[in-house]
Amino acid sequence: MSKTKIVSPGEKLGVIEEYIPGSGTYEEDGKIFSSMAGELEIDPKNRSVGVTPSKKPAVPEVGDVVEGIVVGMKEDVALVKIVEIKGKRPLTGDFSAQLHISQVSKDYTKSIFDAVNLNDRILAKVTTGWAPYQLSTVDDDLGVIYATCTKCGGDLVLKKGKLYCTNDNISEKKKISRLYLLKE
Amino acid sequence: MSQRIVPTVKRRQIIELSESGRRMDGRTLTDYREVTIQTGLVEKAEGSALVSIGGTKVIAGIKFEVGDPFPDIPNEGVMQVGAEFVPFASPEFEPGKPDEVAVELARVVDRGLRESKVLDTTKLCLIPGKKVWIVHVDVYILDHCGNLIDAAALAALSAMLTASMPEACIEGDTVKLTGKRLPMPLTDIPINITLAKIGNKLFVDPSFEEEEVLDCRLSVAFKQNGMLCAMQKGESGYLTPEEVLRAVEIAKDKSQEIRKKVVESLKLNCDKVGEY
Amino acid sequence: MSESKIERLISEDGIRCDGRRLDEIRPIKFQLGVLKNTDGSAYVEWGRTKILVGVMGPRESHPKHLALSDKARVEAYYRMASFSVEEWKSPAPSRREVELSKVIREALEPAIFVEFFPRTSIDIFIEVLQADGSTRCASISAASLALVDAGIPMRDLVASIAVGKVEGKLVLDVQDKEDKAGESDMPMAYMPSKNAVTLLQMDGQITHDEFLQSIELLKKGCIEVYKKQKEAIESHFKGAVSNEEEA
Repeated sequence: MSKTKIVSPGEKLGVIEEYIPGSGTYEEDGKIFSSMAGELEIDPKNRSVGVTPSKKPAVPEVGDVVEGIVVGMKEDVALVKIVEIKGKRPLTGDFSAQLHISQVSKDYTKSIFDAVNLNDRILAKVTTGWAPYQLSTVDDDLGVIYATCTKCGGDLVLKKGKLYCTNDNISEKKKISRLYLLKE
Repeated sequence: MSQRIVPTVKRRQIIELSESGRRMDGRTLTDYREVTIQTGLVEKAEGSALVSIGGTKVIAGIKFEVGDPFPDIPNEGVMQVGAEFVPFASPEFEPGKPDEVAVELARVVDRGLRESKVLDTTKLCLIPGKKVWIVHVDVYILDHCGNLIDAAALAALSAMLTASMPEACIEGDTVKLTGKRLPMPLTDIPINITLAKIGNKLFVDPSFEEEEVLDCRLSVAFKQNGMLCAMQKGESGYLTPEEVLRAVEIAKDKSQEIRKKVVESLKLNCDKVGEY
Repeated sequence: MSESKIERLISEDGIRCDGRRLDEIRPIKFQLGVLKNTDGSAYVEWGRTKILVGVMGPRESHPKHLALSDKARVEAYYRMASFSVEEWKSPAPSRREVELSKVIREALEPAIFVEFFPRTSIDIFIEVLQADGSTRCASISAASLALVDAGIPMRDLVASIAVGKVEGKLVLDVQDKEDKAGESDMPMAYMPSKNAVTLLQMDGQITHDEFLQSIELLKKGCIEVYKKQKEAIESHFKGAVSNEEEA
């Protein structure tokens, strides 16, 4: 492997006649500058230049899988607070997101309350690039991963595809993730 | 002022017009708006001045108070500059505690006055180490049509130049006022000039609509002898070093023009300032 | 202003009270990534001035109505620790701290690609642990490294330094003693590769000629600080690589 070169923001990397500006760079007056601190990467085949930083801002991007808590319920929408972005560093704040009834599953969802409820912990995929981020739980891995009983607050456990309260054995309907945390 | 909608269309218009050296209100880039100064408006203050620059209106008042000196300068009086944004001056102003814009304004005005040594604070000592004059210079923004810094600085200066201080006599450890008036111990006439950078042009004395779209501003204060005594770049744009040099050059010329105006309208005897 | 016989701050042969030449900066040491709970951080020792900077964000703006629809909202909070100066300082922010927070923010914002992160906040927290002059310059220079550490895209690093006039001579990088006794103080922040001045203040009295000389001296000083910033970035990355190899 060749020796890595570390560049800093503002460093001139080349001109657009030479390279295509890649990630971690910006173009100004035909010149390409680094916008990040990181390793300089020149791809001679594609004639592109880019900079790989050690960290990227931890903001949700389209396609990211996030973990969130349902903090509000409206007619067709669940309001979600994103607390973790999978594969990114821990957040120093949280991000507002929404799960619309049409984005819950492949099947028809009659009521948003049949999918999630207040305080549920969910896994979801981000589908838009800014707050409030739109979420989808259509994939099998996505949906509720932990919930408590709306009546007594006891843990809900996954039994034969349904969620049951550990205290009174009442079942609750939800869009359950394949990764639900408490299984019998 | 936290969220300012940038009227991009207006910015484009202003820039296009500036290419031919003109501005929305018909001025050239180096024209200052009309300045008027009215002093002595508030009889209960030791000095006061209502200044307008175009539509911008600012009033400044001076009050004297007997107080304690700062421990590190026990034999000098204290000058304190404050700025208040009256809510009716602009829909952007909110009542309550002064925000960072007001704090910056007051401190820039303060620096211009203080660093030029306009007021000889060594002459404001009453009982060395114990009692001194505290001079409150408070500026109220009444109507915001741009360039508050220059207007506030000019109002504070004019109030000071036309103020008189109370005469005091010392009896033991107490300070008694005689009811008579003394001239202020003044030593200079500092003038602050603000320029805005919009696109790649410099605009002297920016109007409100120019301020809404500016990249940044630079304020420079000059003493009577042409020395620089304070400077402040504001807002989130930048200047090249070459632009800074040009701005200072222009501001220097303008400061002489405005000083002349001050001297004329206050009927000052220029030679007198600095004699006290 | 005191009447007592003051010691000379500059010797006959142009050496300052701490042994520096007139145009010599103090030893400066930057370090990136010093805090765990922030998105980015940096520490600087600038002579005896010691400052810690933490960046949080981009994160959702709170309260939400302050969010900007087209860009990130940048806020700087410059605070001095109560024990950072000779005499105890009240921890409540003074007017000076409010103003410095504003100009520091305005010095850094032109460097940040704020348009990449609409409706978020980038908060820059600056804690001066020990103040020995030029704290705003050290804060800006360290904060731009903390932003880099957070991975926030930037046009350039912002480097900052001050020129003062002491005993009639222009000196680069004023320390507290020189600042207090000096005739003027002029801090500047500069993005060298963009030729952009993002902070400029001055108090005191200088002639037009001295002003012209000051700008030249400030540019030279900023470029020296810029080099130190780049060195710090390089050693931070080299350190990260060798840590990975160990693991």
